[in-house]
Amino acid sequence: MDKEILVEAASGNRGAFAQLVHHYREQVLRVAYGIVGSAEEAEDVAQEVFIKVWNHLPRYRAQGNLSNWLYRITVNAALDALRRKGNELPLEDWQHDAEEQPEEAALRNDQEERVRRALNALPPGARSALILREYEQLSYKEIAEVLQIPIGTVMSRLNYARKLLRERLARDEV
Amino acid sequence: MRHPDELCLQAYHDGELSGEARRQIQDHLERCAACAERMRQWGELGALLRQTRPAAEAFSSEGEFWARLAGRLPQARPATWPLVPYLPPFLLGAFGLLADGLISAVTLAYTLVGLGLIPPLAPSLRAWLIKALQAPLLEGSLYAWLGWSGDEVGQAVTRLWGAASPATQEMLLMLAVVLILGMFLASVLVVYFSWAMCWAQAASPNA
Repeated sequence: MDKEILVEAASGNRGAFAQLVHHYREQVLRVAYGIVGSAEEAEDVAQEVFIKVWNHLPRYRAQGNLSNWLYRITVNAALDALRRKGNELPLEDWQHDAEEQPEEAALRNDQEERVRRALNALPPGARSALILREYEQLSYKEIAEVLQIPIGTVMSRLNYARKLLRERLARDEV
Repeated sequence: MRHPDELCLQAYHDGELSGEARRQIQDHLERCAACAERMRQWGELGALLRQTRPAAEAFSSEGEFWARLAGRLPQARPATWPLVPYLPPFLLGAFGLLADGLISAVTLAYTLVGLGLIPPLAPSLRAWLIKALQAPLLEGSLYAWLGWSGDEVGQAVTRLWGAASPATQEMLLMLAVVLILGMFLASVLVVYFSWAMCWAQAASPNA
């Protein structure tokens, strides 16, 4: 991202901020979707993220990576959205989601749907680490920076998330 | 066969190992079917997960997104005076300097009194204290409530003060000055920490 655009956006130039949104929108949406599990909610989270970025940009100090700063805001906003929603539904409830229309379910790829459900049933902390690793291909160091946890915790969260996901997928297959 | 630690194996899978550690795991994987199977399962899981990565079409168009966002962006950002982050330490430094100056002045004054270079401070401080105790503000509020008058309080304090030895008087005055400065410093510290915490909260987008 061009430093000049950042400076312009920080000084209140909406055109420059629009460029920043253009550059990072998909990344933010992807991570938000990975954590909240629905496109509609991910859009709300992304809106919230960019409003926060707009408000805090003048105080943003380019010590680290802008992308990682955005990831951090996104993960926190998505986790807040989950908390507001009253945490995620357990796997069993997802399997019998009353709001899910049969036509919609049929349209989705079955395997993708199973993975999605198993992912949504993971604890939020483990899910965030896994999404940053598998969707965004971040290194352990970057994940640690985004989630503000030690690298050792990143490793154990990833391991736990993968183990749990494999178990849930195996159970779902039966 | 001794298997590598699971977290190390995972780090190898995620491309986080290099050099000797990487080579050791590679060698082990060539000989161990169980660990190789674990790697294969992780790889499969990663591929499955990446399949659930949403495509851009899953969301509204960029134009719609921006139109909605632009309408929600506040016209004015939360005010941030440029000096705000530096203000608390600056204020603390300034008050600390002031308090230090006052303490030094009082210590110097008492030293000069002790050396006989200036007249004793106690009489003038006592006069000031009695005048302060007779202030109309106290007379109209606290004393009225207690049924006292300013003159009575003044006389009682003068009597008690006269009964004390000059050394006790000087010590009491010194204590009063130190107490006032101490309370002043404590309140500055409380204000500083509350301000610093509020500022940290406001500046953090994590909130």
